[in-house]
Amino acid sequence: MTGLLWAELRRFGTRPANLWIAAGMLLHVALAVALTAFEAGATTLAGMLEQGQISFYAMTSVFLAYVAGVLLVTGEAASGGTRALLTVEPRRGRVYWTKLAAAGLAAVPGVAAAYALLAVGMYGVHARVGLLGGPSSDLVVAMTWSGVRVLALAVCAAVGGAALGVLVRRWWVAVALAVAWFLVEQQVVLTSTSGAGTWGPFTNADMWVRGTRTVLSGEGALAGPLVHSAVLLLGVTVVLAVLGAAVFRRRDVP
Amino acid sequence: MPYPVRVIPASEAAVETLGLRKTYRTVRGRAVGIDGLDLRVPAGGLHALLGLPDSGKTTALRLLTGLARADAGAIKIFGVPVPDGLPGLVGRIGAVVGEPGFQPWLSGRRNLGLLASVAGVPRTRVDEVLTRVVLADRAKAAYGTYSAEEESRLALAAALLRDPDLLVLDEPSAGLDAVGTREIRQALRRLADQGKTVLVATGVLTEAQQIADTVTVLDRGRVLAQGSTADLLGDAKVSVRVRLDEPAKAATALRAAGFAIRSDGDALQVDGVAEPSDISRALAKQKLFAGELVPQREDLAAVIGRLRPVAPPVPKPLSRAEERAARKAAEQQAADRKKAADQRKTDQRKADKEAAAKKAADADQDETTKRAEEER
Repeated sequence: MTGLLWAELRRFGTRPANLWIAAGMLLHVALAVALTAFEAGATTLAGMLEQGQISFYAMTSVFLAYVAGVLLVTGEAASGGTRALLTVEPRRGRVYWTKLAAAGLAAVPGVAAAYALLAVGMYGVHARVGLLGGPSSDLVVAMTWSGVRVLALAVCAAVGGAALGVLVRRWWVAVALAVAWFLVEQQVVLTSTSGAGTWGPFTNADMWVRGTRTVLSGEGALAGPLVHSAVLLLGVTVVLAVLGAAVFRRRDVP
Repeated sequence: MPYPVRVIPASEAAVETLGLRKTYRTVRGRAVGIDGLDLRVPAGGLHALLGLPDSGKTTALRLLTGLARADAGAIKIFGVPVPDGLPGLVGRIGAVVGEPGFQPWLSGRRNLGLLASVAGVPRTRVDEVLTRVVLADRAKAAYGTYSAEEESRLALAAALLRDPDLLVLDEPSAGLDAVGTREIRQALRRLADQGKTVLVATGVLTEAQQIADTVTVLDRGRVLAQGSTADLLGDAKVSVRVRLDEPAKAATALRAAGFAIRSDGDALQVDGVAEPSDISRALAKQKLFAGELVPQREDLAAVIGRLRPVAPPVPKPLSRAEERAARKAAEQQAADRKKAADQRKTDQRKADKEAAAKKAADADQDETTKRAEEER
């Protein structure tokens, strides 16, 4: 099992597309920090955290982790790799769960580096002009926990991406599905039905990263928005993973 | 859908299939890849799955290695039902079916190392197999820089990692030059001689003739013939037509090299040649170079045509329009026949009348002559 995981991680790390994705994550947050530096007086760091600007920047890294997860299992290189693995390890379940584990683990370094750059950069930019907007220790704690939540979300996104990649087989279908779902959730669900948005994965992902403390449900069914978001996002990931496992066990390897 | 249960009795065969069927979904409906395949690969030796493109060779190998699932039928490898029993056969099967999926940015050695870590094989084994396939010199080069022959060698090395009892290879010499083809065939033959079971899918008749002990000829997903290579395909020897400037000198040189020569007009016919390039070599030693060197052998399509059972012609049902046209034509023919008969009758009658008239005239003439003679 360890050998299988190691092989998948090596394969993940050597694919140029994944290296470009990691570079894209870093470039994106570097640009965000640079742009903030130009208008450093506009808002405080505490304000940015509360308004969700930091989570907005971090969500791009999460989306790229999802794409990386999709790319681990789609395309000719992935099919060839799966064929080669199955000839030496014909236990399909093992191969599948290892792929998902590799996707989740492989997303961590890139997203962690990107978030570290974002957090340190933003803190530095605002500290330089004296616009932290709160006690620095509180801000550090808030940003650290936000980073932990971003990492957890990125792992879920990469695992979900890999599972969806197994289901739909083509990377562009999996990516287009995510984009389409996002647009539907933002443009249709959130505007048409009040309350329906609390069940949308993207809304909950945003709430999870922000760490919103406002209780959304007045019925008392949920302990709080963080738990609600965590359960929903984890549920979506588990459902996708289980569906992917069922399909991977039965389907022919191309 | 549960895997269909078919029972194969116990035997000494390495691979056995019974009524294996596999269809694929296409835009035009379902295409049949394999249709009722009953395959038997004896343990030990080299068995070739021979067939034209789309005859079901690769599909059969994909089913055997668990990469695809059969719609119906049963498979046993070393007596173990497949695919359910494949985990129990880990280490006994080495396979290369389709592109091996190596990482182009990693060296050949690293690629094998990854597979070795999955297979739980020690790293020393990687170097052993690389040496065995004569790739140790290029082991540290990136896989992306490998030639087609080196890629094939590395794929073979990957299949040999666990020192398997059954080696399954799909088109092992595809894309290789003459030297590479010969070397890979020799390597496979050596493995078979060591007691391994080597199952090779190929579309090259000479490959099967040269290296296989037994062969299964596939056609449209079905077994056309199965048995020893010599019985089914004959040997790989060919007759070669050679044309060059100095045929007499060439004939002497080739006879000296042990070839059987016939004169064929301004060309030479060399019979019973195992390897046509040997002729070029023998001529080149005498500084003679052939302008034309044409091996004349039965190709795979001809072999399949020979083995394919001759189906009795089935009368094609006619469409309504065709039926009408046929009826009309028959009526026309009948009318023509009747007309011709009537015409013949009329002509006959006319001829009879003319004959009668002539007879009467002749009789009158005779009568007149008789009377004249009497009067005289």
